[in-house]
Amino acid sequence: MAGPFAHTRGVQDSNAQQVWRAYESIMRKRYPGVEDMVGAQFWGTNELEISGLHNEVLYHTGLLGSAAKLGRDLRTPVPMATYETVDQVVADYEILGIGFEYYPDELEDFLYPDVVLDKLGDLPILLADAEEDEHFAAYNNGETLTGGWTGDPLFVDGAAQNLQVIGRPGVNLGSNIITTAGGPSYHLISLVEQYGHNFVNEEGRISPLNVDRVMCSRQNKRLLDLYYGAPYNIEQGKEAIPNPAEGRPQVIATHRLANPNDMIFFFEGWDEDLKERSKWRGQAMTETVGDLNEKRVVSIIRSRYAYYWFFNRRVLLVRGHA
Amino acid sequence: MYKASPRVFITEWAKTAVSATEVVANDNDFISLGTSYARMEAGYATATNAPMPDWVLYDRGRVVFTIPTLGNADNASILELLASDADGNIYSLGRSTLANGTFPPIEFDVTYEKYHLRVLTITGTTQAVTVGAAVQGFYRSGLATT
Repeated sequence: MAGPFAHTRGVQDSNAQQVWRAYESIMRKRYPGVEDMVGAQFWGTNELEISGLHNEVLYHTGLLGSAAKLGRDLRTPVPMATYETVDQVVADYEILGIGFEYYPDELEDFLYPDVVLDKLGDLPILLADAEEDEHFAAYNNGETLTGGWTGDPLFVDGAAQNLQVIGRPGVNLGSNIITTAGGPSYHLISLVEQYGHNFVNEEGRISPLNVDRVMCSRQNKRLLDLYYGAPYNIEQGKEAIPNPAEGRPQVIATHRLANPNDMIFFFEGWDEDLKERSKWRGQAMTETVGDLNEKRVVSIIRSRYAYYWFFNRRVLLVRGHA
Repeated sequence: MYKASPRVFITEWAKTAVSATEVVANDNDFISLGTSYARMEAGYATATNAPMPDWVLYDRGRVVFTIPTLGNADNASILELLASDADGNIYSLGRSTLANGTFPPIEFDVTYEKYHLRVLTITGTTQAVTVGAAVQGFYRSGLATT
């Protein structure tokens, strides 16, 4: 006898052989349309009323009970990288992987192990990384770098440059730079909340904002998570006093800030500014799913330039002494 | 983490070559440390942000001073911290007397909203005092160090 019960005795009233034959007959059975299925659905296994066998079948076939119907397009070749990727099926059968992304062929030249170490510093940067570089460059040089349509830097000090209101030039909405001593504290969090709660939008109207996410060093991330997540006032140290820091924005750690004690706070709507700017430039973000993928990527990147240079007031730089 | 807030430099309280007593007749020059607001004016909103929006968190306040610059080495000076209530009454919260070239901190309870710092007295030849001030809040159970 072959199979998983070859060395098994006394399974299910000692009729392991009969059980195995039933299992084999099921496995060999063909169903119409089975080529469209991930595996097959094993009608009859439940009728055996042998849950152990049922689990064995599921284990060895990697199935999850019922079969998944796949669309034909999943089997059509997609432009893939040279390395092995696995088709993954999620709830709505979207293709996961890198089929939508640009993959530079030059990267393959450097993937040989003996040259990887030599070329490590010269590895070509993927498109996403290039954008990330631009992202960080904009933040780190945000106080001095000027460009784009208005020439406004990303972070303004309120003196040399002011935050502007559309339709009312000359009004000084202050600065989106906060300099404070030390690292995270309730004082720092309160200053940031104050900026959001007293936010005057580009139309000159009051629109209070909450913090959406924070980008800072790993050390400050730990402290901010501590402050945001503590059940009580950890500075006062009394458990009866609730935590005065409201909300829990997502805190992202990075090593790539120019000043290690910088914390960049993103307020609600910072991503909506992308769409506004895109609309303003006549480049509404209308995505066409399934083709023109490269154009879609380019459109997103160009709209982010706008976010850097024009709608910069929903980003706040908190600079501590480092 | 802190047992006290970071020190916040109060620009309005900086004294530049003050040579005589600063008379305080009303609380018009007093500043609110903790209350900020945004309101509409003439169709557009403007925001006024407070230097310490976390002011009400703390039990005690402390004013610390930078190293002063004096007109002459024999200058003697006293700084006074004032506060006002909702009725406009002015109270003296504490004084700092120049000693050994520096002003010691002033500590007080956080029970007022608007505060003011003035030069109470200055004496000596070539009277002038230049000093900056920062405020910080701390907890009654916290460390009483600056």
